[in-house]
Amino acid sequence: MSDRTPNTGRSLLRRATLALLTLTLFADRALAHGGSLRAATPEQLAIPTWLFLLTGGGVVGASFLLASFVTNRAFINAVHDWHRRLAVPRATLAAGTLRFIGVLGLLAVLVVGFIGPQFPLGNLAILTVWVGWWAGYTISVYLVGNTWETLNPWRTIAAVLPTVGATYPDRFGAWPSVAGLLALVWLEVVSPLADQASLLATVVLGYTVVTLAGAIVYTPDKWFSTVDPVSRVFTYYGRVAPLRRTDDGLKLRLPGAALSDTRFVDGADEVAFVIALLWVTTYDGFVTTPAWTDLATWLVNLGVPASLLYPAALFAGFGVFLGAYRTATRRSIGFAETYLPAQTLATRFAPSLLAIAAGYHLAHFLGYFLSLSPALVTVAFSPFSPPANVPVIPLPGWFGGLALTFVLLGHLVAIWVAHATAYDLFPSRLQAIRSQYPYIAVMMFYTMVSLWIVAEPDLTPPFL
Amino acid sequence: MTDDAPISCPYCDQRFAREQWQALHLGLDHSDVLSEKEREAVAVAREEEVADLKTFRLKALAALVFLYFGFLFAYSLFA
Repeated sequence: MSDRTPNTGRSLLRRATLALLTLTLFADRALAHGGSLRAATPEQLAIPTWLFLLTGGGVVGASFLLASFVTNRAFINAVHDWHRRLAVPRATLAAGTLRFIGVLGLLAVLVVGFIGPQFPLGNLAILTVWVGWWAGYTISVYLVGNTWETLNPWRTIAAVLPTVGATYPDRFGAWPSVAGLLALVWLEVVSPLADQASLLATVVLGYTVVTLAGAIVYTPDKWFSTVDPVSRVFTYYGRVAPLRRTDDGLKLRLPGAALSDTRFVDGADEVAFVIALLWVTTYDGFVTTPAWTDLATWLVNLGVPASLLYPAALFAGFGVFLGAYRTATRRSIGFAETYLPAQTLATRFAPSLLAIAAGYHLAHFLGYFLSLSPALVTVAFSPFSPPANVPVIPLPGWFGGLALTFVLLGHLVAIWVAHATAYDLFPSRLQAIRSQYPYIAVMMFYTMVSLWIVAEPDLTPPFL
Repeated sequence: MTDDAPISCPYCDQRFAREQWQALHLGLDHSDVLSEKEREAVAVAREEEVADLKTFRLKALAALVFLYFGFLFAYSLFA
């Protein structure tokens, strides 16, 4: 762990990546404390691993039992329907400013990425993408509200480009965005995207070309609402947030309340995206476990080409996560003895998982963002001649405990949302409780997998 | 899914595996159009539901107590 050489291609920034749900453990060498869950769970747990995992599962189960004591329909509805309308006029100036910032950020990443200083902590492109955008901005999306539709620089650029307006084949649905998300995460895991600024800029450039081409062919609205994986990630995270823009100003609700609405996630493809969002974070951590190193070594010795290992693991794990969810849906129909189609249950219960994903993201990236934001600000003022010692804030020791609290909060919100959803679906309250058993079991499974990754020592992924 | 014939709702296209659930559904979604007989059925179903929930609460409480002490012992032994 601490004797790992720092230039393994997995430095601090390297770990902070598209890991969405990150109970991935990244122990960073550049900082005293990364504020990751790593900090909360030292290399050597004080308790046996099985007990640690069981406790995680037990907490989820106990939360469900506690939620099931809330049986008052009127109360549950009141909680979910509570809202305030904030009469905010369509702020054209603010929107224009956001668009400008977005495009400026994109240009900065491309220019500084290619010709700026190439050490990670002094490179504005790397700091902007990972600290400013992926950590800080994403946190604002699920804690406050989704502004990506306005900030999105590719949408701003696409708006002034001509469009062909080809018809998007509806049978593809959201599947291309699922594939896109998996592809981006695979790229992030197998290449040093957070260490090499020029490589990062190349990937951003490639993404720009594909995105703008897609927007030109299928119109920006269609592309960003359906195909673009990044936009979809923010749309889904934005559902966890309390604020949403409606036609008559802003609507304030309780965090997570919008997750139990009908017709938010629609169809098997969108359910798959939610599961992919959970899985990719786990994957990022999974490839650093000793178990993966052993398995990969064994497979390569068998004659499996090393280049196939990572994509195969990515798809296999996604298959396991998705399979677990689909099995839960089938079992739920059995438990609830309902005539509702499986599709209805799958789409209504899937959004609750987004709260878990947001909780993991916050646990992982809040400390990361706080400790590295001075570096971002400093380097932003002198992108081409950053100071030799970039300032970072060391995080206090108790921050790890805070991270575990965020994970727990995400679970509590998810369980509450599932509870409200079940009450909305079934006339009998007991039936509603029973329908949740398999889903709670799946939540336990996801949690225990993540905690297992946290508890394992952190190795450099082999064969890269 | 049960093997019995589903019980349909007379006012919408939903189907249920049990009489009680159909009655509860009537009370929740169609309370403004019910006949006297249906109203009685709803009232009976609601009483049954409350009784069932009471039983469930006891079981849930037992499960919570079991979890709590189970972990307490596990931690005292292994941690």
